[in-house]
Amino acid sequence: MKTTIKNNPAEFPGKWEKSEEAFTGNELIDAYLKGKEAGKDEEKRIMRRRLHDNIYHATEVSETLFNRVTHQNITLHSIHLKADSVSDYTALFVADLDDYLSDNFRLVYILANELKNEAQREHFTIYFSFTHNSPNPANDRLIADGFFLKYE
Amino acid sequence: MNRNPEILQHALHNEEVCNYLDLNRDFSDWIITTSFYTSLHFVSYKIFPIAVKSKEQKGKQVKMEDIYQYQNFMNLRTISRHKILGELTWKHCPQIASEYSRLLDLSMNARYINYRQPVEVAILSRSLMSKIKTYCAN
Repeated sequence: MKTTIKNNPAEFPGKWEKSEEAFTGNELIDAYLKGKEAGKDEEKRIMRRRLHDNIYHATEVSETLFNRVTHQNITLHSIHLKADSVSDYTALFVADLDDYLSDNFRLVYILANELKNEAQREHFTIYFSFTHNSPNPANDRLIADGFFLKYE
Repeated sequence: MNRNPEILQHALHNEEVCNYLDLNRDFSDWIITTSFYTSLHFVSYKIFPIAVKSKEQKGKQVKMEDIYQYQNFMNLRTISRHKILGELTWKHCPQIASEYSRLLDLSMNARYINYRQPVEVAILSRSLMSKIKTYCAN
């Protein structure tokens, strides 16, 4: 087992010398700090990778739902996506008002819940939300609330 | 497990406000909001208390009286209570989960449209609330 010894030759007893395999306290501290920095860099790399993969997955799943819903003859105008965290996403779908008001729209929520559960995995959750179109949409509020991607 | 009558009373109180607003449909936005918050309490009345697995004693269950206790016990503080209750509705009341989710969206997403909501949306909100009440309050 490697051991640490004080890095002060004056403190070494006369007949003792530092082994090649041993490391000093300062070397131990340096190694700890480098390891900590390397660990942080690695963590950042993992998080960046996860964010990239999750955004891609969120857009893919949202498009899947868009297609499933429009296949039911319901008109969707756009999707807005935001990241609540690296792992949690919200996709807001804008539907045509007449379709939104119809009894048939009930099915859209069932489809959305099914796909949400299908898409769920470790470090990834997506919530689907719906609204209707409007002659005066408040796009500034969408952006202010973090919706950074739009699909039309 | 016995349900909490206070939650039902809160739902009925909110419903009275919604009914009052419906006398004058100039305030569709508030009809939508009160429809949602009425339904939130009806759903809470139906779902709670919930039994969950104890963390300390294997095989035992613990009773959660409301969404706050549930959120704390399940360590879900980073997730909004609206989302948590929405998930619980799908799990425990799937028959009206679609209606509840739709009302939640109507209320939360109104900010992206306009406070001048079409009266048809207000009528829809009250219809959804009525279905939720029929399922939850009986």
